[in-house]
Amino acid sequence: MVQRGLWYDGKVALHHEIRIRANEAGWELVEGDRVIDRVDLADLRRVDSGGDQIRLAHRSREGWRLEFLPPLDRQLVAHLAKPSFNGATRASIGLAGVFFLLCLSVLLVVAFPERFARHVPMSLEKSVGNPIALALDQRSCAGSQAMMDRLVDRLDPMARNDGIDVRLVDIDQMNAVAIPGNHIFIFRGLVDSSADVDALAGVLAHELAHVRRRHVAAGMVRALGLDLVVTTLGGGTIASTANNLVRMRYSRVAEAEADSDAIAMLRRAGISPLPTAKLFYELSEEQADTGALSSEFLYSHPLSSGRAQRFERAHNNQASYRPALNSVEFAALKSACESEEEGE
Amino acid sequence: MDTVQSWAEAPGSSHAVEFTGNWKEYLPIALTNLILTIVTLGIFRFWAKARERRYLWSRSRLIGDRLEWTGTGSEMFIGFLIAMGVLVGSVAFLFGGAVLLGDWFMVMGLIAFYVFILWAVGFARFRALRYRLSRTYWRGIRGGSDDNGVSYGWTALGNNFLAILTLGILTPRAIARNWNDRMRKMSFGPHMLDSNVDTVGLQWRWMMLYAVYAGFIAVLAFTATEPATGEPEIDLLGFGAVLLLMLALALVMISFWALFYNKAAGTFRMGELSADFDVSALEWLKFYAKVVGLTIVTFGLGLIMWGYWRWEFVMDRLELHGEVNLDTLTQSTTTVPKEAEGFADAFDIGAI
Repeated sequence: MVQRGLWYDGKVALHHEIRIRANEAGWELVEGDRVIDRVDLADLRRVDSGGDQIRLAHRSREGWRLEFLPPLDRQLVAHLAKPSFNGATRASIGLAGVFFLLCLSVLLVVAFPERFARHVPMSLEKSVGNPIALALDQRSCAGSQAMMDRLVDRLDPMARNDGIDVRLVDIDQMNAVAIPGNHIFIFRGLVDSSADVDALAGVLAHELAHVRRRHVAAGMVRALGLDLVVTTLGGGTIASTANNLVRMRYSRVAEAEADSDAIAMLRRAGISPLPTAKLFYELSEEQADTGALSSEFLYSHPLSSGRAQRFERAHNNQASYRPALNSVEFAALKSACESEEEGE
Repeated sequence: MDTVQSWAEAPGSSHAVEFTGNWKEYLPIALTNLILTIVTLGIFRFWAKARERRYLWSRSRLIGDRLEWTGTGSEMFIGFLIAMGVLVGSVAFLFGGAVLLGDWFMVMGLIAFYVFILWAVGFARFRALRYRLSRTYWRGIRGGSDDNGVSYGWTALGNNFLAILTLGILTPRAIARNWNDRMRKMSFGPHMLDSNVDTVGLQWRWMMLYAVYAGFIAVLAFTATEPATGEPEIDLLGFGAVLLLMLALALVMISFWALFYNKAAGTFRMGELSADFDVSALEWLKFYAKVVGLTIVTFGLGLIMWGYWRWEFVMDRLELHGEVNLDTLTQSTTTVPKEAEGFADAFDIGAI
């Protein structure tokens, strides 16, 4: 089959009806019986816009054009590159695709943080949480650390080994928080108001469960949302990040998970869940009475009597419980922050 | 070989201008353009424009041979960056100078800046036309201009300034003169283009605008003097009047531009070649009604087809007459501009 075409030399607006003769060296354009031009295939590029058109330009000769006339010689056409997207367009489409996928994945992560929490790298958690932890550390009660460690070891023997860092800080708020990057902070207010050390253990177990299950990563993603991208890229301030993290909340499902983990931890440690149940009852009553979330702990851990009941039901009459810390140790913990102040 | 082609009375010959595009073929291009423009936050629009033109040009035959668009997205993007650089640079110069030299520089600078903007609008239009011609090939030959558009910018500024001074009354004169001036500096191959649009008929159509403006002022005055009790029937009347006036405004503009393009095509010359574009205001109105209707029916998606529809509408109605001596239609020797339509893009006046 002979491919016919229209050829323009780019010098004059004449068109030549030619036949294409393919050989080793390239193509010969034949008008009548005369070869009027020869061209190397490597010099040709497509300049049509798809469809059934084939239009070729020469890389170095301005206005040189070869347009195929139907019917098309499929074998000849097979030698030609596909049209319509040149290098720059391809590159920008590629970039656009990457950008789009990036946006999509960020949106997915922000929309469903729990699903992706275990894939959030600890390094990201640390870069967000460490500056805040460092700031809180300034107020940690140094004398308390031995007692805190003992408490943690009892609940979760591997925790310290796994880099989970629990501190008591001298802040008069009834609260306990898990900060991204494996940090847990118990506030002095919570220790002061805990009549029973086992209630404190229950709250700590709950926070340890949040850390273990990577709820913190999920909460961080939810609280910071797209700010996280800014933080990752090195922007953002500690203040704004901390502000958002303070308002970090866990989902209902996460709270329930943390509760059952905490109950399991208490059981393994031989600590009674009843004081925790009692604390939760008191707090939920307070919540019902005032209608407002009076304490910071209540804000991040909304309580219902249902949650208290779970701890209560977990109590086993046959089990022999012993306190998380003995009374001397608990007293030392309670006075740890005070002695610090006195020492200064 | 017959190297002189004539279409005026060639019996049985097809139209000198033919559009063989197909909306089904174009829709995938328009859709991918839309999506890519969105995901690249608008950067892709330069490449989108290049793809659109490449398609439209390739499906348009002039006297039997296809047009070809050779412009690329990257050159348009670069052109845009250059124009933006100039704009941002001049603003920075203005504020920098004001900080260093005081307020008098700011005042003088602002005046100079506004003059520069007025000049640059004309300059941008000129460069955009020159760029389009330089990237349009027909039978392997392209167009262009040897003029850099600087002096055109000043004459256009003069015409526009006069129109402003006369409260817009001389706008048709400015539009017609600027159009002619631009075209006369363009060429295709070795042939200079020519255009002789006059304002006969255009002027009084334009004056109808003032009647509409007067109507607006009357409605405003009427509703303003109305007692504050505000009876609803009166408000409805005012609303209806405003709606009618808006419609009148659209009709006046359509009739003005219909006649303008009629004249622009009718007085166009390239060597022995001339053109005709006899499209009445009513036909334009029908076209816009169709376009707007289709856009509403498709919940706005029809917007991406506007470029296609307009091109199809024009190509289907444009006629060419006379003859072209192909032996003398040789390659253009004009310089190939690099900045593409950057200035037109920067001022957002890039049509098509």
